[in-house]
Amino acid sequence: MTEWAHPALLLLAGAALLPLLGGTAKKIFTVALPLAALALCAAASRGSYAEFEFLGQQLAPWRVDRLSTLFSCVFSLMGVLGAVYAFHKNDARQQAAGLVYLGGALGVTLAGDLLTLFVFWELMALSAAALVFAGKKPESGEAGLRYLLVHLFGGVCLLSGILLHAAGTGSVAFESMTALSGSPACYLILAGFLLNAAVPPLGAWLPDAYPRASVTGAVLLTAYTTKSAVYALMRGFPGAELLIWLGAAMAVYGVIYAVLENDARRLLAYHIISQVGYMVCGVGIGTQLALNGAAAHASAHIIYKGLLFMGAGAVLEVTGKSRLSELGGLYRSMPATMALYLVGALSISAFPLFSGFVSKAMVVSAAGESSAAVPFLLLTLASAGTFLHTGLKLPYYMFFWKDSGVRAQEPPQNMLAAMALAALLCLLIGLFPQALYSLLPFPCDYRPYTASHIVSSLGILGFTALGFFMFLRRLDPEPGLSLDTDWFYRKGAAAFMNFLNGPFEKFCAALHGIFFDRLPEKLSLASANPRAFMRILLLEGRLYFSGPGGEAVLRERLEAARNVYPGDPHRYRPVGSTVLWVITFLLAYLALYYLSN
Amino acid sequence: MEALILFFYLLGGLGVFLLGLEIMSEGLQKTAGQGLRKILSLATANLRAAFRFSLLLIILAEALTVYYFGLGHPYFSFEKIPAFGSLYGFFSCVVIILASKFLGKLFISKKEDYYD
Repeated sequence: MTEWAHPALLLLAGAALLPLLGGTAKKIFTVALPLAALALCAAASRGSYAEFEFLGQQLAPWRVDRLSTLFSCVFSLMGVLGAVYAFHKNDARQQAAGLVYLGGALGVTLAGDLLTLFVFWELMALSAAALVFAGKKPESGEAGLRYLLVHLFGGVCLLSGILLHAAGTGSVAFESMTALSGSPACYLILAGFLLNAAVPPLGAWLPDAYPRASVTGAVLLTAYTTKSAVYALMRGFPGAELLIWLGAAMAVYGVIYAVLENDARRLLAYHIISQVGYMVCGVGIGTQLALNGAAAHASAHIIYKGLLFMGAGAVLEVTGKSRLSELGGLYRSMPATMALYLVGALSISAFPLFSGFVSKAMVVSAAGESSAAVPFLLLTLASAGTFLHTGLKLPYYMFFWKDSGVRAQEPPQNMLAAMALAALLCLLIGLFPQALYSLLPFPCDYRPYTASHIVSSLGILGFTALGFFMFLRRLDPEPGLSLDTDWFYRKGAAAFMNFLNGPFEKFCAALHGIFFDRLPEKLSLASANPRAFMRILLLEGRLYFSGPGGEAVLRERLEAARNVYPGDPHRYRPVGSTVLWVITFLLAYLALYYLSN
Repeated sequence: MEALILFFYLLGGLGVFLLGLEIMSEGLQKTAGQGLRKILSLATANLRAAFRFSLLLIILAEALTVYYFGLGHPYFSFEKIPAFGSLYGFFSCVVIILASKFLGKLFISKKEDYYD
């Protein structure tokens, strides 16, 4: 009986009320609201609420089933953790943007129709851009603007797809569209979803924007945009074969890029892409185990990725640095941060007893059950790469390595508290996987802790570590930047602006000169005495084509004609000739009119 | 009633397990004695040695579980290669590092002010 307040609207209303509150009350409010949303999402019983008709379409803004309940609860839970992490900051703009962002994510998750989905989808893009802007550096502003432009493009794709879909089927209900695949509507909707899921080549916005967002904002960013897109893919395109290959490719793509990365938060951002690859692959496989695995991995991923970003963010908050080449030796001054970060690192690396182990394995097993050997091998390869970077490279260069001389202390208590809560959740999921499995959309009897699974995982992880220590010298972080598909719009936009400011500007100036200066001048000159003007033109033409013989005579005549121009045309022209001309033109017009009919 | 029986089974099992452990350690001490103790202390003398020793244990364990417990999820024939996980993990690590370094040299890596 709690289906009277839509969680997303609750958060939006709360964000609107935020400026009315002061200091501490405001901070408590930002934690209490996601908690209330969590309670509402968890307590809502199955069904569809608050349906109404709009523009002749049946809208269902609050659909509750197992899948939407799982995602909305995990989103709200992460909202609570993010609010605790940001508790020491009194920045109303970020707090409000965070609440609206969570509201958007919940709205997308609970939407039973595509129009509601689209509205909350755009709301997420706007509020996420506000969190990127909150980085308050020049590059944050630029990255935020790019983020906004890319996501508005994705939104336009989605909306055109939805409109075509509605026109084609007459319904905007958000159900599986796999059966309709091949139609332009489906491809447009899919493109919108894939853009938000950061699937290459549409995913370059993620490592571009997230590392430049504010420390507390980035923690929320890692959770909602990509995972709500995974949710939308699970609803709309389960079992679409294209997604298997896209997912497997993006899992490997993320780890390949992470090798070259120097910025801690950008390295983690590439691992979001890699991890979302597992989920997209699971959606593509489409069996019950695979969909369960995608949902479980999304849930576990939200918590441990939040924890990892919290750890890297805490280092950035305290030292002001996030480049690995400038960090090192922090284990002395930040032991608690390091320990909590390592829990997240072991979780994402799928270490036994940690959360990633029980969720990632489901997707990989599903690939095995469907006899998809290449995706199976690619996903396993990517999991080695995940441990290589987030479990070994990042902690090694951030907390150990050389003493960089950076002086640091532990971050504020509330940051550590949020990290401890997230770490506890990672361990609980890893130790008691059945608790997570019981919340999955389909009945699940998967057993992660089998002897062969444990030893083969340990083998993969252990021998990845061996490779890491063998190549240690070659992995030292270097300042630099990696080209991604954002090259096309970053360089493309610059080239376009150069074209506008250079050649195009000149072309416009030339057109302006012709049509606004020279042509009117000539015309007004010509209209002073058209007959004499024609004569001058004729003479000029004859002079141009004449041989050397008659040139002198022609030149003299031209000179004479120019000297008397425009003369006195009115006095010598009888009115009759003008009337004759008018009649001639009218007749010509008449003839033309009849001919054209 | 069933719970009680289960509890006694558990108790008995635990007893047998502890007894077995005791006998085994006694026997090991008798047969290996100082030799095994020396190997163990050598293997864990420093971090590097401990790491290598645990890798050895892992690869042995992985190769042996197949024979003792069978494959948990035998999806593909290549999984039947002894210690497939360990070998593939090492292979993956090397491939990822080399491939990305190669691609980085080829065109991905640029100076930090590339876009300015």
